[in-house]
Amino acid sequence: MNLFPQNLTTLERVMDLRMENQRVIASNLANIDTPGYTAQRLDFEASMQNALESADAPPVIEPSAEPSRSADGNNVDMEVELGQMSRNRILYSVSSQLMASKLRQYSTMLDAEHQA
Amino acid sequence: MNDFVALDLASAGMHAQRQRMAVIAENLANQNTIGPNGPYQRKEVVFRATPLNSFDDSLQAALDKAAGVGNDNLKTVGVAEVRCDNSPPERRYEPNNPLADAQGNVAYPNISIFREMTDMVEASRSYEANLAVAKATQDMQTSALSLAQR
Repeated sequence: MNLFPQNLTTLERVMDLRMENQRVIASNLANIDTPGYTAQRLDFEASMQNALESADAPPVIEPSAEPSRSADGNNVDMEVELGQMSRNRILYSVSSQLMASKLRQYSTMLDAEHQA
Repeated sequence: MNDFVALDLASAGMHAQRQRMAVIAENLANQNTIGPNGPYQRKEVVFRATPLNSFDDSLQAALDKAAGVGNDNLKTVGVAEVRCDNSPPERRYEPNNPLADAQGNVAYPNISIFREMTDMVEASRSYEANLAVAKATQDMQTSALSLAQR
């Protein structure tokens, strides 16, 4: 029997992917001035789709097709990355708060069971 | 999964930008440095993206790959080289200078204060971007840790 219902597992995958996305953005921003570096993008929807089908599915990460705006061929755009990062962080904390509230519900149920 | 990868990447980024800032400071400090062996040569750093490849990282990457998380797309950053800018020196007419040549010219470093200042602002902005990554990662990890509290 699966101890935790489906939605907790889903939340867990969401949080894993969001953390992975944070790493991808960290890699892009670390290389913001590296000549010839191509920004990487995590396709969240596609990765989530795969993760729901199989727990072992790797995330879908592809090089960004954005044209380079500098002479050295680097196509990392700081504003885009920082925007993506804020978004990612907010969505991560949404998932973690949802998970916290789910876990609180379980412990309330377990307490009720205990008192009954 | 190694949860400190994002922080490592951010600190590698900050480290690289700080090295760049040190070279800019060196250039600015030496903008009027001349000597019998020629003027100071402007320097610039060249960054290079390298895969995360310390032993721990490789092991973790292999484990993550087996577990279906993690990927090879993450690249850390380092200074590949500090390159000398070989553009010709600026010649100033200073006949009384002991270092002047037969025409009375002295070779000064080819440093443009404007270019260095622009580079400095860029380095500082990139440093801040990496700092923002570190802060955001910390926030995310704190919110995950708060799950353990009741």
